[in-house]
Amino acid sequence: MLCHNVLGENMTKIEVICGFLESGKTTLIQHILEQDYMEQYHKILILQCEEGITEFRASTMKNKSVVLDQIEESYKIRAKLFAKIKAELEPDLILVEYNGTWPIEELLRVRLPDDYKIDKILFCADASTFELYMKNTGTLMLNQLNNVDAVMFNRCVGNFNTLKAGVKNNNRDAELLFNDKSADQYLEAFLKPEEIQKENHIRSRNRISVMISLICIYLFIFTIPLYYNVFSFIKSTNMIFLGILMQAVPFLLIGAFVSAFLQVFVPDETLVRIFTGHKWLGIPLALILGFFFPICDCGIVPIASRLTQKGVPLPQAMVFMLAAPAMNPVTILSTLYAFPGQPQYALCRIGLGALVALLAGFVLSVIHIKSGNVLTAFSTVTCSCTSITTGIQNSGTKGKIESVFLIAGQEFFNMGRYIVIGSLTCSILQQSIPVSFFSGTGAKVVLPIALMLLAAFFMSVCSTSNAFIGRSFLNIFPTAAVMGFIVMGPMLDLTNLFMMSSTFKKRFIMRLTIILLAIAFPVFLLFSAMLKGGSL
Amino acid sequence: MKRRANSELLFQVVICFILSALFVYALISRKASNYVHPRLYGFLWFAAAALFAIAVFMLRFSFTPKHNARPLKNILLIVPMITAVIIPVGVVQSQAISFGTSAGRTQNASSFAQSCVSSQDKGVVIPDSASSEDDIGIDTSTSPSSPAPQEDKNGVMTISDEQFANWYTDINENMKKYEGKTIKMKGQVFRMSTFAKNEIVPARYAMVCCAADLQPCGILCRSDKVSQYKDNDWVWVTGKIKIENYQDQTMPVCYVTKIEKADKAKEDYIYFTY
Repeated sequence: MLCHNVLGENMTKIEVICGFLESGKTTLIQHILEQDYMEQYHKILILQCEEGITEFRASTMKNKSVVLDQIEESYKIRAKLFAKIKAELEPDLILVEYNGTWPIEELLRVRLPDDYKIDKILFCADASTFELYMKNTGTLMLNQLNNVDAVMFNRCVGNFNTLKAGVKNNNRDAELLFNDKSADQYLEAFLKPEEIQKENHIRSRNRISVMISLICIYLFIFTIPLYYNVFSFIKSTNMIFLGILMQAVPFLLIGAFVSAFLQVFVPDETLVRIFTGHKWLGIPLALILGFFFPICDCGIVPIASRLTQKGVPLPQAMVFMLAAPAMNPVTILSTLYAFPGQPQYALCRIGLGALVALLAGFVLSVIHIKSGNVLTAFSTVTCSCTSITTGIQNSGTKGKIESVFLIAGQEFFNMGRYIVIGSLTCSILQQSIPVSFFSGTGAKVVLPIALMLLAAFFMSVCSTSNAFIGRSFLNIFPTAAVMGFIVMGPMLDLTNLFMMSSTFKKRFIMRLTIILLAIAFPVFLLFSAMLKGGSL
Repeated sequence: MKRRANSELLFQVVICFILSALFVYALISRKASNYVHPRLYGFLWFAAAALFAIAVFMLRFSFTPKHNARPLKNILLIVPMITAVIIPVGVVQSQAISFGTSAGRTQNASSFAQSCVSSQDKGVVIPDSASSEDDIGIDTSTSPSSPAPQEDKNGVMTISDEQFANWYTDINENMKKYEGKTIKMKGQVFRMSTFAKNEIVPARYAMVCCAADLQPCGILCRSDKVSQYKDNDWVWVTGKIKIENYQDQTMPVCYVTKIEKADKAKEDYIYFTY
């Protein structure tokens, strides 16, 4: 006999609740079991992998057939256990109170019975100790945090931003729940039978529409060669698209490797000491260091945030952040390659980059914002560090080299998406905007600069390869505007702002954006005025 | 149900391997020359090797299961691979030519302004009539080693395919040197809407970096006989060079004495090397 559960399917869901001791796991399970809708489950099993301080109180539970089982050792979690559970108990819901010190993959790896499924993994955290644990437990907590669907904070007071950043740095997709109400809503969505059914309906409908659109795209793509002439536009665009990508990818990889190398081998403390060495030399030094720092803009944001955290004054850190991606050796090399035989482009890039960065640093030091006021959080790990890489960084040279490759790979994938979008946009623009559009005298100065800054902002192309993309814009836009694209792109783009928002307050980011725009516009207008007389 | 692997990471590994393989294939089959300048081949080899190494290292870790893995996170990277495989190689061509600017290198302020405005209009792909799959048995040892074109005993200077790029740069920089000389050159018939009936440019498409910056390069030719040749026909053009002022620009113009059909050049594009 099959025991059909409330979903009408013979499925057993496993919900995992993890987190450290005293993070409120038991309380959460108790809370779940006290919900009215829990009554509808036939049998609920609680697997407790840790002895909590709080005891379960059966009296207030809505469901009357709740079984509690304790597991003391992690090796006991294996296929046999679940097979036994299935044979003896036949629960339709299993709540696992997972030990905070066991790696989560021990559970994920287990071969479950066919109709058993790990549904959600929740992470309970005590808001007051979260930061401390984050810093001191290393991979233990990151490992679990990386795998969770939602994080539930208990005892929240005051500012959530710190917590938000801490989680989001490691797990972008995790839902954050700060109060009981949002937590209840979240729980209902996957535990309340009516809600699940609703969800399933929506999902299956979505799946059908996704399938249909996929088939359409598929048919469309495969019939392209048939419409040979009609789709000449697409073919032409494709050539340009692939051309840009093929020359951008190697440079993106170089950037990723250098960044990964620095991340693994150069301790941040060394950097901090350099910046704070002299009172007046700070900003120029930051500029010069940025100049020699072969890292791309995606890698520089976390470093700049960390520098700010560790006490480097804000203007210095910002100058460093702005200057490094715009004019480091890798970038200069790629600019030289993008504009062969025309070193003046690289020189202009360095000059303008330095100018904008310096002016921004100057403005920041004049308006005197304190570092403490702009930070939302402690910086934890860098943009692409996963728990995998943090784990092996401390394990000798071999492990370090390994993590260089892994971080480089992650960085490549993080930026790869933006490059694909960027070059696609660029090739379509190039093939569809008629040149005459910009040939009017008025459109030669102000509008192209604005357009290029906008394009740079949205395309978020990595600094190591944006010279190539800028180069291809040269056919449509005047040089000054293209320089604007190349120089400002790495300083002010969507990806960077996203990454910055994990560490800096939104208000500060807004301010920085406005400052940069206010500086960039006059600078590039002046530059294009200068070009009128001279040559480039 | 079991989870043995991290589908997200595994998908990345697959992408890396495929990308690496595509790069190697493009390099070995010389198809890469349709997209990028041969000078970047070294970088492409590096990219292929690096991607392969990254994939190998990631493979080791992709068997640690992850709960909320999102394999489709990097689906966008599939797009260029698909288009690279299924959309056949075409030739990007432009509708405008800018005289005197050797693709990307601007010599003076006035031509700079001009190249900005007129260098590339809407590109049009010409179906590669010659057969698109096999035509690229390219020998990429381009111009730098090839000697400058010399006059033969009849006083005709023949420009070979390999010499075209260097010769084109040279004639625009030192046009006086060529004044009154008889030149024989090969190119594809190119017309702009502003051309007179008896004007064509036997043009070669030049690549500076990648397919995005392909530009037609050539000398304006005048002859009554040119009208019988269609756009993009390959022709040998022989004629005398005169220096003229054409649309406010001093440039060499070739007065054609002989024009004949030619075979397609071995390489689709010419490459400027610096």
